[in-house]
Amino acid sequence: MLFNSIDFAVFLPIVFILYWFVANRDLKLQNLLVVVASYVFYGWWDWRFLFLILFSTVVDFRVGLGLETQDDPKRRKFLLLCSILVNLGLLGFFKYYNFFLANFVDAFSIFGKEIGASSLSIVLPVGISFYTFQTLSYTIDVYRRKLEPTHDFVAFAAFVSFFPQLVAGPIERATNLLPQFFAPRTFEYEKAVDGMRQILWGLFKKIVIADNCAEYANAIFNNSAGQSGSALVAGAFFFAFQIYGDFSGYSDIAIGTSRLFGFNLMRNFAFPYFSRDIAEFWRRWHISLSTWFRDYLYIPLGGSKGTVWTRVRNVFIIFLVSGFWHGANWTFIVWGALNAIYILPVMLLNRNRLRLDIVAQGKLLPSVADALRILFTFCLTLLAWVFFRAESVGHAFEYLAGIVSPTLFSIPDPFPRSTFALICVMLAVEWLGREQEFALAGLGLKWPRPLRWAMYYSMVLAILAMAGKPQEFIYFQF
Amino acid sequence: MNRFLRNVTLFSVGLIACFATMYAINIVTSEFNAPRVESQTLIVGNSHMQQALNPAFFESAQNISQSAEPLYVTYWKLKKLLPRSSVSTVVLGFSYLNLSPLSNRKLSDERWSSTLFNRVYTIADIESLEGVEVDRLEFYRSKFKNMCLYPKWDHGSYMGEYFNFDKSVLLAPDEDIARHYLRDGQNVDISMVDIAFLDSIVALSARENVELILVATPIHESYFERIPGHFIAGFEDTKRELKARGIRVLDYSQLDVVDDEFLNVTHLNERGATRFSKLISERIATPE
Repeated sequence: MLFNSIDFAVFLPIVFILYWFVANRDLKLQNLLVVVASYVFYGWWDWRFLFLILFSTVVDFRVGLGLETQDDPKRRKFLLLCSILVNLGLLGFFKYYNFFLANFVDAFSIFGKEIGASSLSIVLPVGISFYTFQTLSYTIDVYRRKLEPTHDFVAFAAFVSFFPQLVAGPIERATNLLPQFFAPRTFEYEKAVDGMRQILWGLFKKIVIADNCAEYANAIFNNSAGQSGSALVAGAFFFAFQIYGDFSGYSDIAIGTSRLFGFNLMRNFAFPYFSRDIAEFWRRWHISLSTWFRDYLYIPLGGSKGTVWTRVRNVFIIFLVSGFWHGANWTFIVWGALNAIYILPVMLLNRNRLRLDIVAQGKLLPSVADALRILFTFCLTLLAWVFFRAESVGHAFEYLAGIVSPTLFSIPDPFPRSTFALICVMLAVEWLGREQEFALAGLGLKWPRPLRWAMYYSMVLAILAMAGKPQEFIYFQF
Repeated sequence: MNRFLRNVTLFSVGLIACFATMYAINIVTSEFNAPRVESQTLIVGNSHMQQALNPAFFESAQNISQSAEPLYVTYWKLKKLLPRSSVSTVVLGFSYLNLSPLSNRKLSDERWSSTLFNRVYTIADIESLEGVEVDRLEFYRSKFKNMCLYPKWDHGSYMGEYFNFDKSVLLAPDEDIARHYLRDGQNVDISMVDIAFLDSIVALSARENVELILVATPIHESYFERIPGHFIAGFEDTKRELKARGIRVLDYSQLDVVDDEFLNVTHLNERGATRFSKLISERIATPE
């Protein structure tokens, strides 16, 4: 079920009413309702893969209980290994089997050996990368004794499958989300209204920005040969806003929906395109994944401690794995490597935590130096997005080679002016709201109600009138 | 909770009222500003007609053909326009392609459906359309978008016009043939839906006291040779039946046209259209 579908527009109020009016007196019943609703939400797409979620849930629940009673370090490690193997095994099979097979065959053919191996027709279960990492966070945290294992299977199942963030995150930590399933929930008006505003802004970013940008970006990337240099730059530019609108829009809807049910999810995007260096960008883009890798991979590897070589290795590992997490294609790995190369000088010079504040805090406009830094960082990410979006690494290089041509300085034809104007509107709103949790969080709160509602009505009408051709959320494929 | 529900309800009611108001305004504007044809001759059909007949070469004509237009859309257009216009002759494009059921799939086709719905949302009668697959959700989405969101003055996007190019790009017809007559590599049968709508157009013209003339535009020899035999036979049968009912059918599908006068294997270019328009203009001016 997609957030931007009529199905969800019917589903959400039904679940909301059942949750607050039928199941409100019993926490367990509320949790059970969350599980049922989440399974319906997921099964709407393909019910067969519900067994996969259930299997993952049962395994990690049992591992959690096993870790509680086990004191022997070897046995504890064995239990953790079971959880990791099962979860990453499922992920590996569904997501990476054909990729490894094809590369294995190619590698042998280099040495003149031909191997007969046929790829399998495997359907990638939506959101598998997200819920796998979420449930892994539970067993790892229980193993590290940072979290008490739960004895409530329903609450745990609700944590794994919580429908607002099941298929595309934010990838929640067990330490943050799981305890919320044990706390009595009372409806908070301000929180729910805030959630509605975040949903509205998320829908705007997805339906108006991302879907309109997608039409142009797809047209350019799918027919990049023969395009002018300026059109190729424009294609990458619109893709940058497509993926931002798409993914941050999804996260906003997910977080807003959770608030309607009394839950607080972690922030996933913090206005990343206003970053002044690449380290800041990675603190602001897909925060739930970046911090997951930081806590469960980068720091255990030694993090930024140790020799220069160790630090270089750790940075490359985390970015290559992050790239590979996105998909079974070399393009994602190159995208990860490119970001590692970007961030390496900053990390080695210990300048990665220079800009922890908000750009131009308390001011209307940034300084010239900050504006130039923002522009430079955006250009770096734009270059990396070409690899992310291209069909293959070869295609990405052809695309980039096409940019370097005399036509780079021509006016792209056609150029979606209206979509560009919409991006400017979005950026303006985000800039004004950059000190808030999300762009719309503080906008108009002190206005008189008619004015504030006029803004909401305008946004709803803009979403309906300026909707692009509906596109699936990009991150569903991951 | 009560406060939240009250505000959500109030907001939703306001939104629905806004949609209803816009809808009412657009109903009025779509009627008040409905297109009217002042010309005597109305040229209708798909892109073949759109690019074949230049109304400038007719005494008093308007070409409202549009690309990818199936016969049922033409019927809806005529049903809307004829009662409120001074048209005495309708020149309708009719060729082998019009008998193919594949041209009817446009209302469920991902590429075409929203384009077609955005044209015909005020005149379409999709609920009574039998035998044609329709993406209803997309239709009502288009209708909602065009009628319920903002006041709109011009609802006549179903009115096409003549346009052409001064170039010739003749490629092998395989792709066109596959697109027009084959599904999964297999020949398709003749569409009975289109025959039925052709009958409806004949009946409508008679009812409105308008002379109906069917015109088959020239197609390239290489394309004609590849048309499946049953379509040629079906076209000839239909032509015969129509003639027997007193309908004039001007079949120029095999007119001697040089390559330079074709835009591609199924469309004329500017030069070809000029010659063909003069020819048709003379023919319809001469009673049979």
